[in-house]
Amino acid sequence: MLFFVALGATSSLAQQTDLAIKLRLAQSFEQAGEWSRAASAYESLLEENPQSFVVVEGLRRTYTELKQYDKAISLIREQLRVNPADENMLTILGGLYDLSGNQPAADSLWRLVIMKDVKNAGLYRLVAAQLIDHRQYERAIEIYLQGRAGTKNDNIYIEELASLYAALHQYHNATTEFIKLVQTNPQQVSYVQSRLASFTNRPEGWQSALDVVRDAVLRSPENVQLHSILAWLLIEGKQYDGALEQYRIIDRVTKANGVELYSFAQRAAQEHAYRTAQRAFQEVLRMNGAANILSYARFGYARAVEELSAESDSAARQPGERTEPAGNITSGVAETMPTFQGALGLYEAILADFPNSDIGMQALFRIGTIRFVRFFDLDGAAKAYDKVRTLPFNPSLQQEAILRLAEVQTAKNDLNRAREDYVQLLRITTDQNREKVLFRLAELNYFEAGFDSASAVLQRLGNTLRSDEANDALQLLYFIQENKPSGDALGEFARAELLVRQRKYSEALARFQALTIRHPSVSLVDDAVMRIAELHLLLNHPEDALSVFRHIVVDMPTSVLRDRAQMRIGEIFESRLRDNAKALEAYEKVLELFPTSLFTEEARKRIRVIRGDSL
Amino acid sequence: MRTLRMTCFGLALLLLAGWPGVVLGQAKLLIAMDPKQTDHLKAYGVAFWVLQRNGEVDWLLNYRGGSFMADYSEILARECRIRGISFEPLGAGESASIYAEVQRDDNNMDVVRLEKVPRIAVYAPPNFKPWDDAVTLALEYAEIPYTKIWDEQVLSGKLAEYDWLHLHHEDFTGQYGKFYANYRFAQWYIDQQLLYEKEAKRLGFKKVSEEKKAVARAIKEYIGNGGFMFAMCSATDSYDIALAAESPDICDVMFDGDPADPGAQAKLDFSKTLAFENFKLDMNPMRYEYSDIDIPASEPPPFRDANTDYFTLFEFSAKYDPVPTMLSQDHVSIVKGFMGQTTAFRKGAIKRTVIVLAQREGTEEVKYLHGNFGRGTFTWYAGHDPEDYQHAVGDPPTDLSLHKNSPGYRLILNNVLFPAAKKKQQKT
Repeated sequence: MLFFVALGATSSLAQQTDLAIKLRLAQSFEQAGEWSRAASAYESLLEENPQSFVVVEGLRRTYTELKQYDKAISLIREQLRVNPADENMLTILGGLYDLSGNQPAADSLWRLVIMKDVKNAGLYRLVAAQLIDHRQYERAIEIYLQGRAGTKNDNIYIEELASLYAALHQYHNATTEFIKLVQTNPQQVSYVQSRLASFTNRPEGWQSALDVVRDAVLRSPENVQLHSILAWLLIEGKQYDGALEQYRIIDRVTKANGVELYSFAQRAAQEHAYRTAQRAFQEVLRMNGAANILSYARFGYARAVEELSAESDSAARQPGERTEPAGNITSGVAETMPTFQGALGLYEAILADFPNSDIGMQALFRIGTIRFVRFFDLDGAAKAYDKVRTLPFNPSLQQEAILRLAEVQTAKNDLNRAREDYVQLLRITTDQNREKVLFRLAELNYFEAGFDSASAVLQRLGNTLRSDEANDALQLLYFIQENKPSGDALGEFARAELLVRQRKYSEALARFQALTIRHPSVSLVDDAVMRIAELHLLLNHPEDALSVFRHIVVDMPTSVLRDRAQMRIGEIFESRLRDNAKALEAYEKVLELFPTSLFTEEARKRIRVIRGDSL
Repeated sequence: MRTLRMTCFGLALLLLAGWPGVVLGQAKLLIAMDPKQTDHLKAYGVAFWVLQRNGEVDWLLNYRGGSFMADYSEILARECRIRGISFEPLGAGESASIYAEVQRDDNNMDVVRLEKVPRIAVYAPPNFKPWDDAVTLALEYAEIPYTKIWDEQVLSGKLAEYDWLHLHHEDFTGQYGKFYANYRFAQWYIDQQLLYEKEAKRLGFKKVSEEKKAVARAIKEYIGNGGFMFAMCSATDSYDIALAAESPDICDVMFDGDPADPGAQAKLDFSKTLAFENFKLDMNPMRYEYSDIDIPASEPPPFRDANTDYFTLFEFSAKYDPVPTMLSQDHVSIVKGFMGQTTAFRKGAIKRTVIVLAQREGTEEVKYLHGNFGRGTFTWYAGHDPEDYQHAVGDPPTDLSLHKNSPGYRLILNNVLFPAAKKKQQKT
């Protein structure tokens, strides 16, 4: 008896093993795309296991791949004979009808499935899944909408519908669904923003989303999450004023006491929307917001005012006007705007209220910068930077102040103090700043005709290719090496360049002119004449500048700067004198006279821009 | 193997003997296309510019790299300077001497007069950017105007309005470039499939593959009626596959919502294709390959050394085979290779009626081919971008101002000027 039981168990185990092997074989045929062999294997398995779902499903898949829809339909019908109420099988059968091109039969069968229990949300999902598999997205949407009506639940299938609408570029509907998600679950704001972001980068997607969210906000004016999404959309669309309006509401509704407004102002400032940032900071200050943000809001407000002053200062220049001549001449900011004075006042007030703090130190640094860069008030700047270097709150700002202080000393012609500052900085600064400081020290040596010591430092910097200063260092090094044989002329040239750095343009001009008279035959003369032309421009004498550039082109046939001078003639006509016809003529001369010049590409580009060629 | 073949195409170019346009005494402007040229690619554009102003250009086949000669004018000289094209002003005597040299029987050279402005169409979807495709990059850089058309225009017969059609990197099989395995979750892929499905439905087709097959047939009809078709990379083999697969469904479920016909291979009709025959389809949707036309296969990605990958242009008789000669004008005869979804055409799959213009020496890899169909021609160039050895999806566009003398790009532009050549009136 025991023997027979054992035999039976062994036989059953063997059968199961055999079944597993056959199934794996069928599946491997399927994976290899050998559909006919897979079908045979599954058919053989089905004979032995007519009720196995795995086998039936495998055979159904295989028949489908072979486009043998009739066989697949028979197979599923056979299964349904055993369990005629199996919704899953009925839905699959509908799918097969649909694939075989019999859409009415499919729809009718699916309707039957759904009608079995119209309140069962899962049945709609089964049918919609079939349609999604067949890339019938619009029909899938219809099924989900029917499901909503059938279940009388307007809040189901939100994510499914939103995804389908988004895939079909129906952004209005997609956003409506996502908004529903936020309304039912306020924690989903970030998730919804990330989903909306998949299409708000397209103008039509952004506009649709904006319209929907605006409507939703109108209907629910106290819903912070909706305001937050609306503000995000407006920032995405660079509509900062609109976003500010939303943050006012968010701040009020959440009783944030200015914190929300302040963080928005910071974001706006980071994105260079200074006008909006200024307003937002101002509102935080007016409402006398949370104490821990007030000093920062004052500083942010002052920064916004300063940046706006800089914007209007640049706008006051003629578009395209060069503020920096080619070469080593430093730019001069000829005029200042009254608003810089306003910013200065704000920083001074912050400093007065918070003298021994990080924010006070930052305000002081800005005071120094405005005085130096905008007003060229060297004493005022030196005083501010000197104070910053003594404050302990922000070491990197401290180093930056010493660097600026040395620049101020250079401008004041106190090169010894400048050098002392640079040397002090070298002791405490980081690697990256070291190279900058070393370059400045080399420049000081150059200004004082210490060409050998300058060259030694420049050589070292030129070898450090990762350094930002490497190019400038090499340029100055080659200039020194090339013109060292000129003897005194190079020293005079360097001193004239120092005057330019100190914004003493008229004196510099006289020095360069004297140099060309005293040393007419040195190679340096070409550069000196170029500097003379650029200084005429800085002194707002464009006609004189043109005359000198023309002199270089016509009367200095051996000069290597002729192409550059001709190019500058074109630029002056184009940007300064607004005479496009003459600019065109000048640029064409670059092409004609100097066909191998490095400036030909730019000349061609300028010609085509002036001609209005569509490039 | 060097192939010299008389083209049977009805384009009979006039020989210069007794050429009425060569007026003695007229100063000429020679745009030499040898290695000294400063910008080969823009030179094609300036030739086109002359034609647009009702001028004429002589294309001196095989003379200094296939140079251009036109009547001298200050305006033309100025335009050349502005576009950065080097040129040589010639007196009447000098130009006559060049024409005489070109015409000599013992020189494999000839003159083709260009006098008609070709109307150029680029077949491309609406979301296409010029930098997606080497041909449009070349046209944009050379400043040659073109019109974008897509399925609706092709199916409504608008192709007849153009002399030259370039197929953008289209997949005419309806498998969306077979990018499914790697890019099915990428937004651009999802958008592309949706866009194509919408367009197919709008035009009355149930499936994209059916629509693309109809487009392929319409293009074939256009060529048959005298059109010039140029295609690159996968637009070549996928086009012929679409023609051969007119009856079977070769698209798997992820492409068109139902499985492919498992017996599709046997149902291919090679009599319907233009260039290829007896090829074997690769119907695995997870593989980035259409068939065995492409060599080396794109999957797995081939390992090749760009430094040793070159192909050779064949030499044809300029006086007897002007068409292939025009198409292969270049300042070098060995050109840097470049890969693409279709890197080269397997020689064994090419029909015997097709002319091979360039091949990778010692291999079965044909890079460039030309053939006739009806009253028109087709020219196919394998690879994606002649100056980007292995261009991948998302790579930045090639800046042609850094490749002004690209021999590979020149082959594209030869095709653009080809329909401008003067030809005898066709018999109807």
